[in-house]
Amino acid sequence: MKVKNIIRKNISYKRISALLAVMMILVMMTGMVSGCGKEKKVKKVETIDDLVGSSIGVQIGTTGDIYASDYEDDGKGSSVTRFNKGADAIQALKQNKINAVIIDEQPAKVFVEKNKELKILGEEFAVEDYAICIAKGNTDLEEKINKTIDELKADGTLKNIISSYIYESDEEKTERYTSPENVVRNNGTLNVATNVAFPPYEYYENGKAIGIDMDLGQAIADRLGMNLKVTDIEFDSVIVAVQSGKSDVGISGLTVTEDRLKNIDFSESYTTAKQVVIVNTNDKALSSSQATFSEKFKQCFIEENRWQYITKGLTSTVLITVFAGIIGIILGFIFAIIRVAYVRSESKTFVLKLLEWFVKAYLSVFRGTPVLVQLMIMYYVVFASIDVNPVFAAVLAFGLNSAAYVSEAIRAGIMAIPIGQFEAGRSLGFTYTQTMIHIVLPQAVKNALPAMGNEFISLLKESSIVGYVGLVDVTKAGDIIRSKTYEAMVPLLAVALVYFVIVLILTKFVEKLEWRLKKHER
Amino acid sequence: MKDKQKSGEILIEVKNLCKAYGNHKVLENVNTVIRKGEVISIIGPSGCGKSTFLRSINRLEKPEKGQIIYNGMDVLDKNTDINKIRQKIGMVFQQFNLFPHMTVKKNIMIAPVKLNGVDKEKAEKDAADLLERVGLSDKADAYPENLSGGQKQRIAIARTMAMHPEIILFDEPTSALDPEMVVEVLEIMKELAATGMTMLVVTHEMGFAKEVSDRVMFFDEMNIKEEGTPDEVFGNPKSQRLKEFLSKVR
Repeated sequence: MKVKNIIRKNISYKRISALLAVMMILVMMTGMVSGCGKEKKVKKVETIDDLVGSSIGVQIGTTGDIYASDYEDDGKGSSVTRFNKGADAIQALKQNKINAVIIDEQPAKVFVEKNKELKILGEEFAVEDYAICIAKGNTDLEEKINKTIDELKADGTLKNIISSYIYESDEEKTERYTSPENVVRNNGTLNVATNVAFPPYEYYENGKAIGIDMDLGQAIADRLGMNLKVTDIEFDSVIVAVQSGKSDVGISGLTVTEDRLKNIDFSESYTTAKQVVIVNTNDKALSSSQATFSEKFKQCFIEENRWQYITKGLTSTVLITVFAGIIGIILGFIFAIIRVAYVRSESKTFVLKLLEWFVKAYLSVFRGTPVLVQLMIMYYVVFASIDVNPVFAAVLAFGLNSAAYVSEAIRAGIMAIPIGQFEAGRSLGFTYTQTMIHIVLPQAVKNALPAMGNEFISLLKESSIVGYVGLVDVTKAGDIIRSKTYEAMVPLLAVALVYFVIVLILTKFVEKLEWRLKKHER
Repeated sequence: MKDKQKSGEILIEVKNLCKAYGNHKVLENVNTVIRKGEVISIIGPSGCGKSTFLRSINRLEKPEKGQIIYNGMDVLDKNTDINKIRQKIGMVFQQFNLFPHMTVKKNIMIAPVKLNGVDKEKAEKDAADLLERVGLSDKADAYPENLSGGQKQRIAIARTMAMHPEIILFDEPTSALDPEMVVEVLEIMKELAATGMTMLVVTHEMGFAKEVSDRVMFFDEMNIKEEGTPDEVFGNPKSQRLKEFLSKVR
C-alpha cells in the first residue's frame, strides 16, 4: 500500500509539473510570436476612400458594423472583422491585425486618448441619432419615456449629463448627474439592458457602470418614480433582451436603423453621434505597450481594485458549475437508469417505452447543439416573458446539458457491471430499484467517476460563455479588465490561471474519491 | 433418508414447463415435484436445459408456458410477488457474484437488514454465526477481491443462508473453481444437506451426486430423461443417452 501511495504521489507531482511547464511554454510563445510579426504588410488607410480593399474592424451589431458591411461584399478585397467589444477591435488595430475601426465618435476619442499611436481620421463617416429602444407594443412606457426625454431636454438636464462626460475644455465640464433627494420610487423597477464597454456612454468605474446612458437611465427612473436596474450583456443581445421582455428598455448608444425598427421601437433621439474611422499610425505590429509586467499587473488588478472583478466572477463561475453539476448528476442518474431498465427488461411497458424515447431524444438534442445556443435559448426564449435571475437560467441550461453527458457516463458504468451482480441482488429478493441502489449503482459510480470528472472539468470551462446572458464570471471579468486597460496578455493569462487552478483542484478531488471508492481493490 | 422422496411434504410442483429462446426450444413439458428436505442433483450434457430449469424456479428465466407452484403460489404468475418468494428461495451461482464493494460481513448482512428489517446487531451476530459455519470467521472484514474462489463460494452460500431460505438452488457451484477448492465447497454443501435443507444442485460432480443426493435428475432433449435414486441412475441406467453420458463423465 505504501509503495503504491508513493508512486501515485510521484505521478501526480510529475503531472502537475508537466502541466506547469506547458503553461510556461505557452507564455513564452506568446512573447516570441508577438515580437516577430514585424514583417507583416500593413495596408495604410489615410482617407475614408482607402477603406476599400482594407480589413475593417467593428463592434458586432453596431451601426459601424452596418456601414462596414457595405464594403464587405464589394469584390475589392475588403473584409470585416466583427468583435464583441469596441475595445477588442481597438486591440486588434493596435496589433495591426486590421487596418481601421469604424466606431462611434465618443468612444473613439477615449480609445485614441489612451492609445497614442491611434488617430481618428479627419472626415466624419456618418452622423446618426441615439435613442432608447422599447419593445414593440409597449406604448405606455414609450410615451412616458418620450415625455421624460422632452422634459429632460427642456430643463437642460440632458445637456448637463452629456457635457459632464463630453467637453472640449474644463469650463464646459458640468457636474455629474445625481438623483434628486426625496424621490418616491413606488412605480416598480426600470430594467435597462446595455453593454458596458462603450465609453463615455457606458463604462465601468470602480466596479460601477457609469456614463451618459447610465445617467440618462437614472434620470428617467427618477422622473418616473422607479428603481433602476442595469444589466450588462453583449451588445448584440441588448435588443433581443428588450424584445423578449427580459429588460424594459435598452440604453446602449443605440442608433435608429431600418432593420432595427422592424423588431423594436425607439424613443425619440436623445443625442446625435458620429461614426468615425480610427487607424493606427504605427505600422509595425507591436506587442502591447512597453510597460513592464509589474506595471501591467498593477494596472490590471491593483488600480481601482480591479481584482474584485475576478473574485466576483469566480463566485459566479463556481456557483454555476456546482449547481449545474448537481442538476446534471441527479438527472443523469435518472436518465441512465431509464435507459438501462429499457435494455434489460423483457416486458417493456408503454410508460417505459415512452420514457426511453424521451431520454433518447433529449440526449440527441442536448449533445447535438452547442451549449452556448442552449444557454441563449434558455434565457431569451424559454424564460422570455418570465423575470428570472440569469444565474438560474445558466444553472438550468448547463445542468440540463451536463445531464446528457453524465447519463451516458453512468449508463456505461452500469453496463460494465456483470449481469451476475444484478441477478445475485434479485435472487436475494431485492426489487429492481433496491438492486440498483444497493448493488449496481455504487459500483457503476466508481466506473463512471473518471468520465464524470472530465464532464465537470468541461462544465467549468464551458461556463465561460455566461457573459452572453449578462453574467460576470471569471472570463467576463477578464474581458471587463481588458476593455478598461487595453491590455490583453495579463488579464487573459490571469483568467487562464484561475481556471487552471480550479481544474487542478477538481482533478485532485476526483482522484481522491476514486482512491476511496477503490479501497476494496487494494 | 431416501424415503423422503415418497413421504415428504411437497414444496414445489413444476407443471408443463416450456421455455424457448426464439425458435430454439430448451425445455418442453417438464413435470416434477420437489419435496421438503430433498437433495436433488441435476446432471446432463451441456446445453440440455438443466441451468434454465433451475433458474426458472426463482424466475430468473421466464418460461413461456407452465406453472411452478410454490406454497400454493404460481411463481410464474405475473401477479405473484416474486420478490417475497425469492427471499425464501436462495441461489448460489457458478461465478459467486459476491458484491465487490462490500466487506464479507456486509455481503451477508445486507439482505436481512434491508429486506427483513433485522436490526444491525442481530444481523451482525447472525453473520458471525454463518461465517463460523462456513469456516471463514477471520474474513469478516475482508473484501471479496482478497478471497480465493473456494472462499468466495462459501461466503456466497452463507449470504444466501442469511435469509433462512426454504430451498437453495445451486447453479454449478464448483465449476469455476480450481480442483483443490472444490472439496471445501462440497463439504459445506454436504453439511447443509445434513441439516435437512432442501437443495437443487446442477452439477458435474458425480461423486457429490452419488453420495449426497436423495434423487438424481438426468436432463436431456429438453426434459427430464431419467430420474431416480443415485443407485438407480448410476447403478442401473436405463436409457442409451444416460449410459453414454455416464461413460463420458467417468
